Amino acid sequence: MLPEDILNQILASIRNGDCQAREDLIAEFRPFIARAASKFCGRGLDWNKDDELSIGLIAFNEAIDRFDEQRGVPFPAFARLLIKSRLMDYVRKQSRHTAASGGSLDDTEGRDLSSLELSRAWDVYIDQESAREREEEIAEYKKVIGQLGITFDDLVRCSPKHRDARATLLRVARVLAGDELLFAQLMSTGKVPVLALTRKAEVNIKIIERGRKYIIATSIIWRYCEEFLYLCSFIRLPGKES
Amino acid sequence: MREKGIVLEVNKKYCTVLTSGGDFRKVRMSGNYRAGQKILLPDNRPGLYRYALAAACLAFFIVTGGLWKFWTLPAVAAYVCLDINPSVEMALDSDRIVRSVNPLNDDGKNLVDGLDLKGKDVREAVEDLVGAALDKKYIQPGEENVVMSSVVSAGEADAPVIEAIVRESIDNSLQRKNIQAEVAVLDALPEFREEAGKAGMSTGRYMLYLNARERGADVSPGDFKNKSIRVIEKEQRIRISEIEKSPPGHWKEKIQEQQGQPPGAVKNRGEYGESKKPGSSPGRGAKKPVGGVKPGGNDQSSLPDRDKGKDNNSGGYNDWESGGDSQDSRDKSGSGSQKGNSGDKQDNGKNISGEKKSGQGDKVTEEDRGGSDKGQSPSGSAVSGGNDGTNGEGSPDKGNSGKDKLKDK
Repeated sequence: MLPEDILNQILASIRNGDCQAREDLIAEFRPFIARAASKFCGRGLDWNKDDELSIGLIAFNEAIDRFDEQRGVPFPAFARLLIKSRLMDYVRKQSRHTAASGGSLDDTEGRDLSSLELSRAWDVYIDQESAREREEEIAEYKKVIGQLGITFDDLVRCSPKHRDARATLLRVARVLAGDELLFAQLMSTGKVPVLALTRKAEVNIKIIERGRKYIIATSIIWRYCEEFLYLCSFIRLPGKES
Repeated sequence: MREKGIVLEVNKKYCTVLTSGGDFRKVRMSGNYRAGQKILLPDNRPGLYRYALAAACLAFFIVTGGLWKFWTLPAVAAYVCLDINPSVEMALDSDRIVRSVNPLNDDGKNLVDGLDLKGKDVREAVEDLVGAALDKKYIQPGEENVVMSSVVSAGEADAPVIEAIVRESIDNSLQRKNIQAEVAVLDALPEFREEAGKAGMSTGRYMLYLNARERGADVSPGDFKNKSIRVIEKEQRIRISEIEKSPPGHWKEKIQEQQGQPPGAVKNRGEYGESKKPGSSPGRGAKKPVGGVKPGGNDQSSLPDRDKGKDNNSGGYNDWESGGDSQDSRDKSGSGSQKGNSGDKQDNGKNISGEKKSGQGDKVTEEDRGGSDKGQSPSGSAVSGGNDGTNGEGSPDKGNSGKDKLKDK
């Protein structure tokens, strides 16, 4: 998953007419689109057979054009919301087609809906949906770290107050999240592979021990960035702040 | 700019928040938050708190810095005073560096003029001063020169060490120019410096003055202020090297007497003068025999009475009043030596304080005297009748003085 600020740069250049960048971005997000669509449909989808994926691609393309940073929703989350919305329309249309005739009415209804999307109702919808997703995401996150024996109170207690110390731990967490083997070890044992990590991240063993819970919690966010889209895009990368 | 945070968990009063900086934090609830909500965090924590702390630190340093100046300013460890004729006083810190220079008379100002002594080591400073004294003809080859110095320790400074250094540097600078001079370095007490300051002269001069007074010379502080030390030596027939030898403890006693006893002495003198005028002959006649001939008997005979007096801490006065009559303190000191130290002390005290007029403490002495009168009047008055002019016991004198005192009152 691309860091938020780089993503925003790419989106800005696309809006300025960089077609190649658009192609690259869509290619980059293909797996993401596929996952979002399959999750919505509740089944695996095939690029060759299923219309839902095409609809997802189109919706993603639309999301690129309609994305607004000011809204406060990260782009992947926004794209996912739009994909879901389009798929919902699609499913609704499908069920109507199969249930009864009278397509003209449906058509107008469909147009009404798309015009609604441009209005404030759409904004409200996005806000509500993103808020709901965030809440779900946090509940999920709480569950995941809870399985490793970490509560939010623990994190409040052990998160370093100083920005530099925090940046160090965030960097270590990122190293941990980026290493398949070490992260697998973490998830299976519930413990930070301290020694291996000190070697890899080149920090003092004490720093890791002291910030153990913090490292675990943040590395999970990065590892499962797609699941924790909002949290992941919310935390700014260490070192970028200054 | 205020930081943003995502609400993770909501409690009754606080909500746990994840900030964009990656910090997990508890924030006081303001409004109705839901998990997942993005909020602006109150920005006081990193900003205001830190600035307040910084400001407090700064204020602290400024205040302590200011106080430090005050604390360190009076950190004078010792005073070194140089007297030739010019008198100059230097304040030293504990590293024996000159912190301030204070010329004590006009010649001193002249001497110091053009010298930069501040920040120099004592050794250097003293050598500079002696050198300047040579240049400005305060010390001249072929004459009798006297260089006197006094060292007052004002703190933990090691006075003997400073004395040694001062002596060495005076000697050095004199030898370099091949000049003969009498050199003395006096060990003075802080009390002397105080008193000397009040009298407006250098500590060393004040010690000469005390010495002269001790020996009964009729002198005033003014005699010691502006004359060169050599002149004073001649006038007063003092050898400063003698003063130098007297141990500091001795001086200390003197200081104590001077502070404790002069009131009595002053009063005594006054009475004495008055009492003499009306019927002076008996007193005079009795005096010399009293002091010189039979001091011992006198003391013993009146011992019980005196003891009473001593009980209320006035024994010294009784004794010493009787001595006061005898005017010649050295005679009296004969008896004093029998009695031991206390007598000696009192004699000195009398001499010094007799001249020093100070009105304080009159009441005390009157009371004391009252006590002594009571004790002595029976025997004293009885004897005094037939004792005029005879060389009998010491008691008649006492009787007389007792009566006189009563008259005074």
